[in-house]
Amino acid sequence: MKRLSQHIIFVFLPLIVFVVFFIDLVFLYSQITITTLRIFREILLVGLLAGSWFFVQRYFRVEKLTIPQKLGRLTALLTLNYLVVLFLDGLLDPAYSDSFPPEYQNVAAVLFATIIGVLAPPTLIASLKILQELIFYRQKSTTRRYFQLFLLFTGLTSLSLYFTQQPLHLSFSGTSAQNTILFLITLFFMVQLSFHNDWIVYLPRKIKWLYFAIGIVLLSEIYSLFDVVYRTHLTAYSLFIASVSFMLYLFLLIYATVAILKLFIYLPTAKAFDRKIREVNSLNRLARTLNTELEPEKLIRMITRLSREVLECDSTWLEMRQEDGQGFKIVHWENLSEAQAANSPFQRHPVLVRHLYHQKQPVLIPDLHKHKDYAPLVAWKKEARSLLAVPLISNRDQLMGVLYALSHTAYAFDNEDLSLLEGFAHQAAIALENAQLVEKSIFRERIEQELKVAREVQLKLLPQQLPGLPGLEIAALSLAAYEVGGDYYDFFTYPDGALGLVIGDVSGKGTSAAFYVAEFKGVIQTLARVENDPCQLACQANRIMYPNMERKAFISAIVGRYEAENGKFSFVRAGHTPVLHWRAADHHLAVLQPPGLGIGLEAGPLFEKYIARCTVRLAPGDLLLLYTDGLTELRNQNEEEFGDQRLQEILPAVSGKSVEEAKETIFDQITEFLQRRALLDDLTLILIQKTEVSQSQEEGLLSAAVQMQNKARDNP
Amino acid sequence: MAKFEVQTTEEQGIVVLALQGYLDAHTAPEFEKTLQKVINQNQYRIVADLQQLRYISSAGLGVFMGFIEEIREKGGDIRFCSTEPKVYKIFELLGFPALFRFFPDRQGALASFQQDASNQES
Repeated sequence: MKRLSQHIIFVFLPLIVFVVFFIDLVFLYSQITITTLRIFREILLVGLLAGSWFFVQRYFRVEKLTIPQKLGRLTALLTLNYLVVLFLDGLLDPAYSDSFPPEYQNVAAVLFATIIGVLAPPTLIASLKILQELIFYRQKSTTRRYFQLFLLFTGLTSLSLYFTQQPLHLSFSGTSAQNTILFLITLFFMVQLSFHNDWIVYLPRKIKWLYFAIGIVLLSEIYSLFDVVYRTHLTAYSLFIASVSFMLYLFLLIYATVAILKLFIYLPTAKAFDRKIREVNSLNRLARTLNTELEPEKLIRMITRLSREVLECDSTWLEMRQEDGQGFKIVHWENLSEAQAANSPFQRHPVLVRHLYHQKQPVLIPDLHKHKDYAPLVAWKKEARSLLAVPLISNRDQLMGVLYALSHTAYAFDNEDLSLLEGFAHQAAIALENAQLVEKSIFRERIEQELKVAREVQLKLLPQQLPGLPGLEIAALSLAAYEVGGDYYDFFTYPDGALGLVIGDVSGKGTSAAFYVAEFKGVIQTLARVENDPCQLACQANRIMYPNMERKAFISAIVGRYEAENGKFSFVRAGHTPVLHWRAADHHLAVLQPPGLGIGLEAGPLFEKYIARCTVRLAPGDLLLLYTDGLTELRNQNEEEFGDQRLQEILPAVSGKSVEEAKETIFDQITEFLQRRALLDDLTLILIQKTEVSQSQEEGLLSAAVQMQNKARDNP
Repeated sequence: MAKFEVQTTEEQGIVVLALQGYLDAHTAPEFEKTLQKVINQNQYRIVADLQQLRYISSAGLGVFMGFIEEIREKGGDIRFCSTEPKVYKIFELLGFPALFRFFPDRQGALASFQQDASNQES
């Protein structure tokens, strides 16, 4: 049902046309006038007009067409009109009376007029629709109002013409005056609307030329349209349709004339305008990619391609500063050979070097053949005639690269091209710099993530709890620098029950240091199950670690042993900082530095020959300080080093305090020294204090010693 | 950060590297490159003149350790001279004097290489 109502127009329109045709035949042969029939005929014709309008609205959809398609449709429609007339002229020989409106004199006239009458309204209404679309290309609030007023006055003028039954005389006498006034008002709106042709401005240059050529033909076609095709036939068919058609035709004519004129005016500047548009477009495109494209590689490709497109030149290429800061290299090119790209003479050319690379100024050489200085450039690429080169300057005013454009014709570039390419290079530099920064920060983030993991691993390797031993107090402080260092300390128990301790510093930083720490901890803990002697322990650790370490890496360490029953502390120093011993009895600070090599420096023989054990007996109140070089090499804002002097003042200053208090004091001293500067290296220290042993503790110790001896006897 | 520089010269067929400033984790890679370049030219007799060296970190010491094995395999050596006491202390802590020869001045270091050469000949 719906489909039927949609297509009812295909029944309705032919029916009207047929009835009107029949009425016309009756009038022609009977030579009588029946007023009611005449009125009925006119009503049918209004219906025909309305039906045509509806038909065009429904089946002639121009909204979605592009401008060239719209103009194509218009041309096709008009051509169709001409072809039909041409065909009918050859077939029929119509005759009309000289009166106004003309009357049919024969059947041929009736047939001819009917066909034209059917053809004209859809043609002109469709044309009107196309014009409307073009006019609304750039719509202002008043545009639509003007268009509606134009339609209204077109209707009024046509009605007026119809009722006065007169041709348009353009005189102000009698009944013509009304026609003339209405017509002039309509004309005003036509002209007004005809200036809405902004779509012309934005046409590309080539299309402007094409339209201009087509437009001239189209205009002459339109111009003669009414005279050749419509005039007598249409007026004879229906005065109302004729006058509406005439008004629409006139509008079409005026609009086309103004449009052609505008095209004509814009043609000379079309090239410049074209370039400006492309410049704006490509700069826009580049700016858009600036936000989306973060891969420098892709950006570089885009820059060379777009610059060649915009300048319409033969070759473009981009030279970028190399990572090591040494010289420039062509990283991407359009229309250069592989060999030319690899062997660019530009960085060796004195003029270019001075202007471009040193002064960071753009260079324009209109004709390379003009001066013998440029011979090397022509030798490099023999077609080369004119050259344009602009620097890419970074935010920090650094020359990042150079964008080149080359043409095979002399004087191909002017100053406008230069400023265009400069603007382009400016945008490109920003985009490239951003991309590079993003790339760098992604890299940095990955490194930081890696460091974080390493740092967490390292922290887990440090003892969670310090050993408790009667008569001995221990405190440890470990400060981590921002980067992963390789500081390490641990406590363990020797097979014979003595307390073991190790403090170490792996050379270098980063993840590899952290993994050496992990390995070292494993080796020490394994060896400590079977080895009672710190010296043997260190030697074996060296033999195990050495083959597994990079040659440039090593570990400095102190491996110590404390026997609670006699207060003996013995240790070896494998390349580590000395042990400080504060003797409470005579207020003496001993710096204990027995010979020893770092672990991992040598395979074993030399290590074992060189290393020597050092043993001290701790008396109550004595203090031991073990530390890593992070402490002595602390640096403050004035690049001042913490140094040995301050170090040696630490223990006398804290003597008499508990180790916890002593640790706090040292920590305060460190922070005071650093002020607000961050740590550059890990810093670790262990404080050990022998305390007075009470009677009960002594007994406990004694029994522990007996147990130990028994154990040692059981496991020789 | 503190500056580091190294000057490479050749005296009596022996490469002399004059180190200057602070050799730490930041500057070690630069020194590593220099040393690599020397070795790439098949020169294995090297004197490191440390007169102007103000500080050396474990990373700096690592650079010498990284190359010494290869150099000695090729019959060469790295010998140190004119080491400032403060810097020498760092070498000493780690036990470098057991692994490397130190000389009070450049002439001594160069002469020791000449001595080696004449010993080999005889």
